[in-house]
Amino acid sequence: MKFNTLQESEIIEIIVYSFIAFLLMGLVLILFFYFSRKKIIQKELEKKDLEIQYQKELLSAVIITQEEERKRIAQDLHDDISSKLNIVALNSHLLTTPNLSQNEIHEITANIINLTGKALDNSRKIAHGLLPPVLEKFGLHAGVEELCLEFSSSKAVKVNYENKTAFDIKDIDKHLHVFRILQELMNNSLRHGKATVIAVLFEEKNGIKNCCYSDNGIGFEMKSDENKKGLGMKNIESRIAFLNGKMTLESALNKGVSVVFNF
Amino acid sequence: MWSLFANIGYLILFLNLILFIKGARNYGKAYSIFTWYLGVIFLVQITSMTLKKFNINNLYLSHFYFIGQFILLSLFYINILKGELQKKIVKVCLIIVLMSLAVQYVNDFSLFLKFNLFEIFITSILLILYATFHFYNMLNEKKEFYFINMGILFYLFGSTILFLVGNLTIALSPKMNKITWILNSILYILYQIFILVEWKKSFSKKREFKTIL
Repeated sequence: MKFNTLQESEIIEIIVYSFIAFLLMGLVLILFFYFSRKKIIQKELEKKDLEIQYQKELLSAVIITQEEERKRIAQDLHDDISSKLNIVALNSHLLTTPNLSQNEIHEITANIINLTGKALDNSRKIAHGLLPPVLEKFGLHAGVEELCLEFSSSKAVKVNYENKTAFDIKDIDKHLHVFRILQELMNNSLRHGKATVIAVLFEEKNGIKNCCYSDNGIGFEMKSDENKKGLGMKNIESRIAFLNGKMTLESALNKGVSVVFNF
Repeated sequence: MWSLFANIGYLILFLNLILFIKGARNYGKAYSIFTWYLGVIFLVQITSMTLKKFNINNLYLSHFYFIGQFILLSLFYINILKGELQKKIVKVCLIIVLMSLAVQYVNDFSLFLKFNLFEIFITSILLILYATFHFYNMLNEKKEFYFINMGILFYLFGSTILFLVGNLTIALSPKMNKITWILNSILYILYQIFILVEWKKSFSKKREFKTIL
């Protein structure tokens, strides 16, 4: 009898311990799941925050460039066109004064014709600077060719341009971005890089168009942060993002810059 | 049948012990503590085997096994866990468990001669907890002692139940009670294979261990 009760209490003990053991294992599992989920979600939030931060930076870069562009256009209009039209208006007023000699009228009209001609010329230049008509009419190849010619004509830099692919006129929106990127890169090479030779090459691989750009300027150190924050580079980045492309940038001090991007 | 499985387990354990001893100087504290752990359980196993040969009751050795495993693996986890809170939990639990077990044995020494359910229960559950701590830490970090941790968790989940019912199986007929021990030895072989895999993945190549970890 006594043996039996001992057995029973032992069995109960075993059952209770097993029960608690299973329960605790389950609890540990649930807690593990709960905390892991929390940790993973937190990590994802951090990642998303970083992405948003980056996009904000890009957006602000776009807005700043837009403002700068407006400022530049306003300045151009004010300096080159408004001032000349002002003088035209003044001269036209002079024409209304009575008792002018034939000679004077001749001089004033010549002045007016001369100034309006200049104003017209300047407005064409400004419009050309904003959007080269060649690009729109004859496509990217001609646009880039003209761009290279313009840079080469400054004598400070020699541009080698080669095109191994054909551009579809339907993709003109994309091509404008490519054109702007090249414009920015060339400006950078000339202004900051003091480059004397620039090479531009378009090629096509597996249906993806690549643009290889390189110069022999002073380059910059990839690791230092100050070079990454430039407005121009941000602008290029956001254009690449528009193109759904990828860009690789390589540079080192005194080794020039080489940029490859696809679109 | 049982002795075959058990012997395979011991053999792999012996192999692991030798492999781990070979690298004990190169891989830091946690590694050497784990090597000590392998050494201690190997010693306990060998002793129990010898005692069995001479037909001496070797059940009390289970206490050395569980307590030794608990102490050494606790130290192991103190070394590899990351957060201060986690380390503190391990340290406090180690002290509390050792003290309460000491009190228990002083009060009733007869417990020493059979399976102590409280001892099995508390040491296994806590080690399972530590293993999950480590898994939690590894969620987005590099994998350190990944397979060992898996093996520990896996083995403890299974063996805890088998040991908890250990006192019952003693009352069963010898033919039937072998079954639980066969299950246990199979689990043990798997556990040792996990350790072997860990050694192969993380420690077999001397030079590159940093990149693999």
